[in-house]
Amino acid sequence: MNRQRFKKTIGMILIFTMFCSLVIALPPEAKAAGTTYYVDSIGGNDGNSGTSESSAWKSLDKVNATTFAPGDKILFKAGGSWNGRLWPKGSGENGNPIVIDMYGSGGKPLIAGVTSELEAVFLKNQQYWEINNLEVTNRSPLPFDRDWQNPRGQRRGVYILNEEAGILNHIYIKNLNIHDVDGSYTTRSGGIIVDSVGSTTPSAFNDILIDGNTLTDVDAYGIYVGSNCILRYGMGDLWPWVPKPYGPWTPSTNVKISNNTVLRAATGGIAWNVTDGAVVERNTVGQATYLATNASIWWAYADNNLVQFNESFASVNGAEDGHGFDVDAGNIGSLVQYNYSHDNAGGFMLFVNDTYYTVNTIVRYNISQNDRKSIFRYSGSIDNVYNYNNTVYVGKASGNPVMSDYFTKASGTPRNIKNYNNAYYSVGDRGWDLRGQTFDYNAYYGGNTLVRTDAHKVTAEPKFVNPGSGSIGMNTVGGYKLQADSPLIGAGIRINDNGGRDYFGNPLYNEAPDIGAHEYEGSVPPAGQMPDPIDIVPIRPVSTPVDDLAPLAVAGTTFNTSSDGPIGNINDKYYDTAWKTDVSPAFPNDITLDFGKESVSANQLKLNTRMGKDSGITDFDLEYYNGSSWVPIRTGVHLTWDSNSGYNEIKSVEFPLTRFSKLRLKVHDGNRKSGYLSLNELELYNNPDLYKDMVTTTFPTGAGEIANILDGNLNSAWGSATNIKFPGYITLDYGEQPTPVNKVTLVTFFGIGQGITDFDVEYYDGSRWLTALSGASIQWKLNDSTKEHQSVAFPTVKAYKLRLKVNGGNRTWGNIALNELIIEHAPELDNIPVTGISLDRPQLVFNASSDRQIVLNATVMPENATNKKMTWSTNDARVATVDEHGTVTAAGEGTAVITAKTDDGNFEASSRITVDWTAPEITIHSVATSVYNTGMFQPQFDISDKLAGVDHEKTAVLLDGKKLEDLSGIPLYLLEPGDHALTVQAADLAGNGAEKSVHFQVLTNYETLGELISDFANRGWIDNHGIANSLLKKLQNRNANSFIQEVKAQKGKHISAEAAEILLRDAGTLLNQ
Amino acid sequence: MTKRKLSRSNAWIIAGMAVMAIMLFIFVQRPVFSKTDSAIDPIATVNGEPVQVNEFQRAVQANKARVIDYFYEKYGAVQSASFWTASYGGEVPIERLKKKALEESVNLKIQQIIAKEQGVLTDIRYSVFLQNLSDENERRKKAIEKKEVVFGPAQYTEDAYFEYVMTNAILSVKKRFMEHDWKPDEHQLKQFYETKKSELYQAPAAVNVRLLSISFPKADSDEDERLKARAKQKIEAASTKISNGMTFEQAAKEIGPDGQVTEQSYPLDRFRHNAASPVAQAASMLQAGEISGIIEENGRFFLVQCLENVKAGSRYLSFDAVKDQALKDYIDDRYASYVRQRVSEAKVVVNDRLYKPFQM
Repeated sequence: MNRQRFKKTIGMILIFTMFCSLVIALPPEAKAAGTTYYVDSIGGNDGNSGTSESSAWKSLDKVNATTFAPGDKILFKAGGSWNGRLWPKGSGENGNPIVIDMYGSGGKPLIAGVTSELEAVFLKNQQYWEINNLEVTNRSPLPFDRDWQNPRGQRRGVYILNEEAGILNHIYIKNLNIHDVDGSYTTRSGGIIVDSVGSTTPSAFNDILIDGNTLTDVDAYGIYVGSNCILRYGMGDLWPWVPKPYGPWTPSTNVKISNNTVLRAATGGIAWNVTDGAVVERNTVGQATYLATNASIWWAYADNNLVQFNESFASVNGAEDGHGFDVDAGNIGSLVQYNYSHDNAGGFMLFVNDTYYTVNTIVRYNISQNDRKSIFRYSGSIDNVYNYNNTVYVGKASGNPVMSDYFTKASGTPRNIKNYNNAYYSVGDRGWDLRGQTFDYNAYYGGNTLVRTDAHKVTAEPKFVNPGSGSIGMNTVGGYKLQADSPLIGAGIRINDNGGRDYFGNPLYNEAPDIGAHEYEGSVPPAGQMPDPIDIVPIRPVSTPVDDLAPLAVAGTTFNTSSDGPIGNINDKYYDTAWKTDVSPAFPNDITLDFGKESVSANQLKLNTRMGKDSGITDFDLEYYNGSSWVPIRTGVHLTWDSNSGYNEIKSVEFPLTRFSKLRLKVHDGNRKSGYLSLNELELYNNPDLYKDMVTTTFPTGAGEIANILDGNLNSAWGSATNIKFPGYITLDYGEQPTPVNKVTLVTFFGIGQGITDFDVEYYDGSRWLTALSGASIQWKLNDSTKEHQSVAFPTVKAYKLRLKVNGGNRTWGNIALNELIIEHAPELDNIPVTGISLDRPQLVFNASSDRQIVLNATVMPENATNKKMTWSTNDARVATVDEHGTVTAAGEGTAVITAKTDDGNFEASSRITVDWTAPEITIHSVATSVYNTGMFQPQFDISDKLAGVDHEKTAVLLDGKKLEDLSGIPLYLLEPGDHALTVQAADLAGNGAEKSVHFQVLTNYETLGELISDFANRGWIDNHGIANSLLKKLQNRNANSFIQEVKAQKGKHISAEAAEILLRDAGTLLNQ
Repeated sequence: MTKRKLSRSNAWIIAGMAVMAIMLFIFVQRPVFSKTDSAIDPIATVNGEPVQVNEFQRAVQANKARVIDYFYEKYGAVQSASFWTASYGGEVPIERLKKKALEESVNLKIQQIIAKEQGVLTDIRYSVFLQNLSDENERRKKAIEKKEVVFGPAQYTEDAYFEYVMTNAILSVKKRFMEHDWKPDEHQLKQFYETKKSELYQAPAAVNVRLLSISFPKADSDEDERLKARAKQKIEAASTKISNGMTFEQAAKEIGPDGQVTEQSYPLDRFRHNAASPVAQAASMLQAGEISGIIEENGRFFLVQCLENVKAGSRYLSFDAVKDQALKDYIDDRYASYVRQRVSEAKVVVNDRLYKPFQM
């Protein structure tokens, strides 16, 4: 492993060392002869000059009304007391601070805050001050609670405020005794609050020293260094009491918090935010979280933190966190070493993150004793933790804690937590949540500490010097030293950059490394062959937010690029790498982002140049490639760079929302103080904030914002209200720059239920509204959550504004909806290709009665295709011919196919032609089974047609001119005796018709009448056998009259009325024969 | 007196910590001081243990600001040469201060006596404390020079060290009581919880929700994108069914093994967490019974149903959730009343020869 890489830990120590040597090495500057002012609350008088003890001032009012000069001293008399707020004015200068201190002997002068002011000691936008040896209180009669708007207000003992003042230097607060500060539950309340507010001017402090102070009973915090300049890496919201808008991340530097004793802070003991290289050491924090949950010592949004030699103990409130140490949200680089954590209600070490990164945390050579609840807690997107050589003792007083717990948060899950060389000694615990962690070379003894997967574990009794649980022994950290025969000696693995010393100050290593916080200093066996040491490898957090589109592209340039600054550095997501040209670059030249086959929509470019004043790009045009040429988006862009100090300077260039797959900066000039151009990062965004007002609609909105249709996110949709009327408009305003457009894509989910179906595309050409496409219609195919794309194209127009005049939509639920409206200029669409053709009649039949000519209508798709020409043809001119307009002429009987074929794309559509002028032929074979009334009417006939075939639907049979619906046999006795006619009608499928009729007779005689009597008797219509026989006899006797009389007599009695009618009718016929 | 003040007095009495061996060694190893100490005339004795003048002086100093505040707030009294001895409405600042200082001295001495009884401290004379401070600072100085272990300040002030030592001693005493004489059984602890819950264990304002969620892989590939899209479709289908009356549980069953139903409580005062969690944000805006739209968070799609909006102070944290804390609070509480009892029983002899003429 390359040991030169990322030597962050060493770096931090170096920074610290340099800081120390800077302080020491400062040349003894010739101080301006400052004035010393004396203030005596008893013997003073504001009418005095104040410049000697005997002519001291008396009041804070006098001090507050004075603007002090560099080198001045304000000395308060020992034992004196003042009620009110101390706010002296003025600033010192480098080497000549203004100093507040005490004179005389006795108790520290007391500044007792009053309820009418929030702070007891105050500086605002002042610098080069040192405040020493005061007693400070700031009481409120109101109780504390967790409501941050508690009417106590954000009270402070000492409040150092930087409000939009940029960087302020040198604030030293030393040896104060601050107690009874009654603030509310915020990070801006407490004993010593150093606060930066930089909403418009990024603001922070340089050179803060808070040293040797005693703080007791302070609400909410003991010491807090805070800031609202927190924005980086897409940082989200903070607490409601931090002033908005937030400024860009601007760290306070050279912050040192040391030698303070903080007891009974209501929430956190010592906390700091937005610092770089903060050193927090030799503090004692006890009984923090006294009134509300928090952590004893914690830090957030801070880089390169060094936390060492602190004793953090007995935090009170473990209901939520309550750990001794807390590497909180957004910390990049923390080194926690040589600390003593004990009896904390929440545990030893909390790792928690709910924002961007908390990475590169090293926790080493600490001792945790009797911490409670969760010794280690990992929560949220914690990454890259090294815990090594810590000694953790879980005694009876720990209760029954978990060794570690684990929580997933919105920011993600903890991962890459590596544990080496730690000694875990427990009399009772609930074990580990091993997710995200690995263990190697650790010692486990007792409880549930054992991690079985540890390949080099030591499980023997560790033989600490004093492992007992009595009144002494484990209560002394000396007890955690190793005995000469401890199995932990030499059982660890070497770690590179280990700080060089153990907890007790012994150098590392004494032959093979030991496990735990103690490196045994006595004589040990030679190490012999050892495994390779562990290299601590920090991970490098990316600089740009996740929605930066530029990294999706390949960057290129026509500039000659320096070998140590490849062009890929501009979109590698890291600010600390830059692209650099060779010296003396030529102009113009291009920087290109090529997205390949993908298209992106963007409206904002950001250029970050750390040395912009010396080498930043100053003048360029922004262009995109439309497939054949470069089209300007913005011309004459000019940037002015202020930085040549290596800090990120980011310039934003906004432009109309444009969709493209290639973008370039045509660079015309740059700052060339350095001889070359450089660019650290080129970021590209689709920033919805910039087009919030670009899109409007006349439809009432029911759900989502109309801006959602332009946000590049298919998942966010706009939906109308349900009470809409058509037409309505959706309008895009491109501002002063007209935009070429020839394609509109609507993306909708549940399109069948709520898609826009009918619309016109209209555009504003600078003076009036014109129609680009009328009568566009969309058939949505899906009714599920798929984001269905439907596009329409039209000849390119240059639009200042573009609108959809929506004439109709699917309204299953009453509303219409649109996920995304993609407006494009697709060069290939300037020639709109044919995608298909159809004919209005797929079949065409000519018969004897139809016209000889019929017109076929062809539709070419899309409707706006550029070339809609087509060629007509027939495959059999003997049957049908066709002309260039699609007019088909029948020429002779038969079938043929007429085809229309597009000139563009050779799409075809056909119609099948049938010419049939011949009617079908009808042949009647027979009508009935007999000519007598005992027969059945059963016509037999054939219909045939040669060309089109018989249309059987049309076949009809008529009896005496009446159409028969049922052709099953009809008994002839139901027909009147005499003449009848059968007619058959038929048609063929071409529509030609034919008809044929035959005549037939129904006859009767005595024999057949007799058969009817037998038949009727069988059917029961004649229900008396005697009567039937009597009637048959009469017929045998050919006695029709007698027959008629008997039938008449029995009609309605033994002969049914209907049967009697038939018998009487036919018998009547016999009489007439 | 305000609740904060009550807390303050508790603050002093209630404490918890392990005692430092260093201190113990020193107390043990310095019997030699008893000779010189006998020469010092105490300003009072508590059960026979002396309260030395400098010890009383420390208490005076610690209470001075409070008394000044009292007279400033109550009578508008400002600082003057005669402030301490003047009478305001019949009250004299120096008398009030001395009274407060004596009370505090007695209280502290009683706690030291308890610590002595428990074997935590061996010699509780203030002169011994001061000598220890001096030795400790000397030890720190040397240790830092030799790069040996020192945690906390390079040098302690008298105030800070006194606070530190007392805090540790009391912590150690409580630890002993907790492990032996005062170890509560489950019933006692529960009873303590019940009587104290309205004071100590109020739940913050929160929204309790039921979550239906479906996981999808982090999009590293097109295939993952497809799986994500499928997960989205499933939860959308579930959303529709739920709005038609299906239960979350049934909807989760239909989703299959990827789906799960959980219940969650989001405290509304966790500003930073909630600001970073789309689910928490959505939850905080729902009224009881309402169901959210689909929310993506951390590799899952969620549907959130608000079960109830819990107002601040309307609920208590459950006994099981705060059991550890309750044990600690129980001991603190019992210690506080034990100290009160011992103070009320204490035999305090004030040395009027020193006390009466005491001036600022």
